Amino acid sequence: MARYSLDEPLPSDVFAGVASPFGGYRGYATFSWPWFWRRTAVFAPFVTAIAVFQAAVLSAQLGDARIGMLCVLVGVPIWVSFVISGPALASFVRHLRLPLGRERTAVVGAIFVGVLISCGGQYLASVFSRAEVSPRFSALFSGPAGQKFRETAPVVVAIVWGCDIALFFLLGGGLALRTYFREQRSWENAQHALEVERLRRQKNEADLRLTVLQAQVEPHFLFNTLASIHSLIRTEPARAEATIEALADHLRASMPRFRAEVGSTHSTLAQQIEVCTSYLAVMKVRMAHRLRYSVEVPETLRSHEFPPLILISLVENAIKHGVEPSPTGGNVVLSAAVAVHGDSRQLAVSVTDDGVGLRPGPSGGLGLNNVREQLAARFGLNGTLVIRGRTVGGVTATIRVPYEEQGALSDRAATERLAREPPAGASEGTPSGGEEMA
Amino acid sequence: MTRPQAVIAEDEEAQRRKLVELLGEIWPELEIVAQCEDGLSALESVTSLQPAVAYLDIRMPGLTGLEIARAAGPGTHVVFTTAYDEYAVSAFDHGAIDYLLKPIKRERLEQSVARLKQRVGSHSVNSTTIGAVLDALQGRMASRPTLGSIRWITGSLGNITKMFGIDEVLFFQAQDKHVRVVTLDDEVQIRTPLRELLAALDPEAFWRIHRSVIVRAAAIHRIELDVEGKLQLRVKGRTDLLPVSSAYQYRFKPM
Repeated sequence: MARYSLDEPLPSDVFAGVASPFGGYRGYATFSWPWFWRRTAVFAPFVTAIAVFQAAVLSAQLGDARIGMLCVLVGVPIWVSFVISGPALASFVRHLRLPLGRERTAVVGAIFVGVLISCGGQYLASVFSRAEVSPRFSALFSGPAGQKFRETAPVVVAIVWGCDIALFFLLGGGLALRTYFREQRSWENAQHALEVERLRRQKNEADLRLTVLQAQVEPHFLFNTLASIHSLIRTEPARAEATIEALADHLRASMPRFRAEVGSTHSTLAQQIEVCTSYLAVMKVRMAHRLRYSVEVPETLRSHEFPPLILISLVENAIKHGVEPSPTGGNVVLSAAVAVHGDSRQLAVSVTDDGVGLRPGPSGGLGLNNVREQLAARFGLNGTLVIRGRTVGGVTATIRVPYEEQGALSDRAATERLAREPPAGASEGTPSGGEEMA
Repeated sequence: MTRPQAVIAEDEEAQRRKLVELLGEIWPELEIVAQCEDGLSALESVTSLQPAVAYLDIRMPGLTGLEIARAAGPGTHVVFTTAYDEYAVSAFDHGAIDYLLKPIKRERLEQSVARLKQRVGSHSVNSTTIGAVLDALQGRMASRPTLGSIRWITGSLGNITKMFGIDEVLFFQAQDKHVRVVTLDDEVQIRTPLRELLAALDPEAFWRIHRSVIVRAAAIHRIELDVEGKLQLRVKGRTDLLPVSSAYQYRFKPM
């Protein structure tokens, strides 16, 4: 059976509700030394205060400071022993790391030995009291009252001892026994929950990886482009060439299996913009004057991490539902900015078109739904997709993801780029911000 | 005998030109009377010119090829062209309607022309068959509302149009001639009747609780009685009080 460390704090879901400033010791394994010392730090001052108060009352009643001092000297160690002897023994036992069954027996035994020690302390206290305190009281209340005080009925004595023992048990770790017996189970449950969470995360990551690997170039796009090239080859060979070049760029950018880092679920905004611009470049050759597009993304944001294959969905949508259905065509703008959202910063990437706009009513929209699911899987509530009609016509779709300060990030991105791209000059270089491609 | 006439509808100029060129070689008698680059002009040409043959791209701006075929007269033989056979026109290969996959191959076009030459001039295809075939095709194509098929709601407020994911929506409330679509911090109006929404929403996720209200079950915060003893419902994070009619109170009976 899995055992857990006695020196480390417990996982937060093993113990519940230690909001009080005095409950901190419960964050450690019951009957571990860290637990013991923290508990002692809470309990010892408390019982010391009781002992001092007792002594103060007594010395006030007797009008004698010396007896008060004496009571403090005797009372404080005895009171402290009430609260620590059982737990100290039990902690000692636990750190022997016996097999669980034997440990449990031994811990219970330790608590009862602690109760016995407390009883011994109580006995010493009563001996002290009889020797030092009682005669003084007898002197104070001489006569029958003093006599009665000295000779208590055996039943009363038994009841008093019974109460004492119960108190010693409760103070001396008896309550902690309950927690102790539950702890192993709670810890196992917490471990189980952790494991489930870990597997869930792993599956999530695997799903994302799969989505990326399965990423396809939309068949309609691919075959229509081939049909275009087919029609252009003889009549307009230069345009056919341009289309093939743009298509090759798009395939390379959008199909991860054509890149070195197969199956990577990470990519940069620059890579995703490349996927989109190569797509738009192909569409531009095909649709000629009916499509215009531009990219307005600051150079500084391009190395920011950005999930793969979701921006292209927005661009495909802008073409398919915005520009293509419009007899006059339209303009597509890719833009990015850092937006302040509450106390955090977000990277907002937008695809704006001036096409036919949103059609009111319910719709199916599987592609956009995938975008949302991907964002949720990666960023939870911090990844959003917002789609708004524009008053001037057309649609703006905006993806927001948490913005991470550059620096650490750009280092990694730079390393990745070095590993992926041939030396400068061999590639055409990323177009800079704000270029117009219409 | 008069020359057979044809209308060609294809939104990409290069592909249109290529088809015209191929037809000129394979079927020189064919007279191409109109070349259209969008659905609307194609519809106009097909209905007004009543050509013997119509080559229709399925995906076009404005109207789809399927919609145009539906409007074509009984004397017009339709040939669909498509880059990707997502509507499975191939299933109707030997039926009333021919189709060509793009890029269009010469042999395939020759085959199609040979078949058309036999048919042209006859009303060989009865229009009910065509109608049935188009219904079937359109059935494959259309996203007819089925349970749970709604993923997005597009509506407007003033002159701003917004698109909400269905899982953002907390409730729908009919008011006058429109329906309010309410999310945690936003709302729009749509004109789709509740009855239609209900047919396409996931019945587990959305409950009708009143003639005028559909609410997301998971968003229900609490039910309270108003001064007249009627049940009212509050939704998490909103102040709206939604009426619950007696017919739907069974949903909230204590277990």
